[in-house]
Amino acid sequence: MSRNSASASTDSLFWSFTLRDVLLVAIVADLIVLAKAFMRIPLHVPGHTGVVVVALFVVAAGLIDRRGAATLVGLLAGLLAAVFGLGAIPLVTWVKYVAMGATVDVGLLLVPGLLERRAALLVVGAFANLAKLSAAVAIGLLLELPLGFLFWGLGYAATTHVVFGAIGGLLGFYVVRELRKVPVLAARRDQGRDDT
Amino acid sequence: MREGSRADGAQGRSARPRRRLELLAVALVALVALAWLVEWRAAGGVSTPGAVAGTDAAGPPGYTVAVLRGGDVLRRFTPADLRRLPQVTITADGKEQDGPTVHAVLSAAGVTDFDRLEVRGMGLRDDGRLTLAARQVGEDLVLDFTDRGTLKVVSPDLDWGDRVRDVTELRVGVH
Repeated sequence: MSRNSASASTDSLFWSFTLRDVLLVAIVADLIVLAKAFMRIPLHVPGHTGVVVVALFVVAAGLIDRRGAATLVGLLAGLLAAVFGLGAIPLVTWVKYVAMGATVDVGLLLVPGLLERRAALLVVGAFANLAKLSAAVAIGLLLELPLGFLFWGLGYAATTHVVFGAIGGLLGFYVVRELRKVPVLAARRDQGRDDT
Repeated sequence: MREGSRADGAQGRSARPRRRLELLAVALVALVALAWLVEWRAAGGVSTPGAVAGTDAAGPPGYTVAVLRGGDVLRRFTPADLRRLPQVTITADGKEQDGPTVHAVLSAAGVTDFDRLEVRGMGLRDDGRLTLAARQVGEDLVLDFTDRGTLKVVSPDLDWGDRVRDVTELRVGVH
C-alpha cells in the first residue's frame, strides 16, 4: 500500500522512524552530499545536477515509508553540505535541499500513489528541482542582490530546472521500482507499529 | 441504484489523483511562464540576450567587473568593454571557455605589479571568493563569458570547486 493512501495515519510521521528508516535517511543524505561534492556531469546547463539529486529524494521517499522522510533527508543533506563547506552560503544550500525534500513530501500528500505513477513523478520531480531554484532566488531577494542580476536568465534556468527535475523524477521511479524488489530495502510501514 | 452511485464514487476517487496531477502540470507550466515574464520585466522589456547558449551576452543590467587596489576602484568594465579586449580560448572542465585573460583585464586597468589577486563574485552559486598568488595569474586564467551574460574565472589549473561565477571584483594587493 502506498504511504499516502487515505488510510495513512499519524504514526507514519517522521517521529515514528525506526532505526532502519533513520539509517536510510542518513545514507541517502550522504549520497546527495557526495554527489554534490564529487560527481561531475559536464553539461554546463543550469539545474542539471537535479537529475541525480531529485532521483535520490524520490528514492528516499520510496524506501522510507514515513511522511516527512524526504524533508528530513533534505534537512540532513543541507546540514552536512554546510558542515563540509559545500556551496557559497551554508544557509542557501540548506534551504535548497529542504525545499526539494519538502516539495517531494507535498507531492506525496497531493497525489496518492505518487511513487507508482511515472507521470506524477515527472511532474513532482520537476517541481522539486524548480523549488531549488526558487529557494536560491528567494534568498537572493533576502540578501538584496540586484533584481536585474537575480532575474537575468531566470526563464531559461527555470525551463532547464524543470526538464532535469522531470528526468530525475523518472529516474527515481525506476530506481525505487527496482530497489523495492530487494527484501531488505522494501518499504515496511508496519514495522514502526511493531517496534512500539 | 445504490450500486451505481457506489461505482460513480469509486470512479470519482480514482479520477481525483489524475485531476490533481493535471492541475499540478498546469501550475508547473504557469510557473515557468512566470519566470520568463519576471525576467523580461526585470530586463526592462527586452529578451535576455545571453539566455541562449552560444549567443553574445550583453550581461544583466548594471553588471560590471571592477578592478580595485587598496579599496580604490581603478576601472569598471562592462561585459561589452571586456569583449573589446583580446580574447583567448582555453579548455577547462571539458568545455571551451573564451574571454579575456585576467592578466589583460588587469593591464587594461593599469595594474602592472601585484603580489596577490582576490577574485570576488556574487557568491550565490559558489564560494564567491578566490585568492591567487601573482605567479598563478598566467595566460590561461580567463574571464569566461557565461550563458547568463556574466563572467566566471576559469583555468585548466583551477579546481572545478574553486571557480568563481558572476565575478564582480578583481582586487589586487601588494605586500
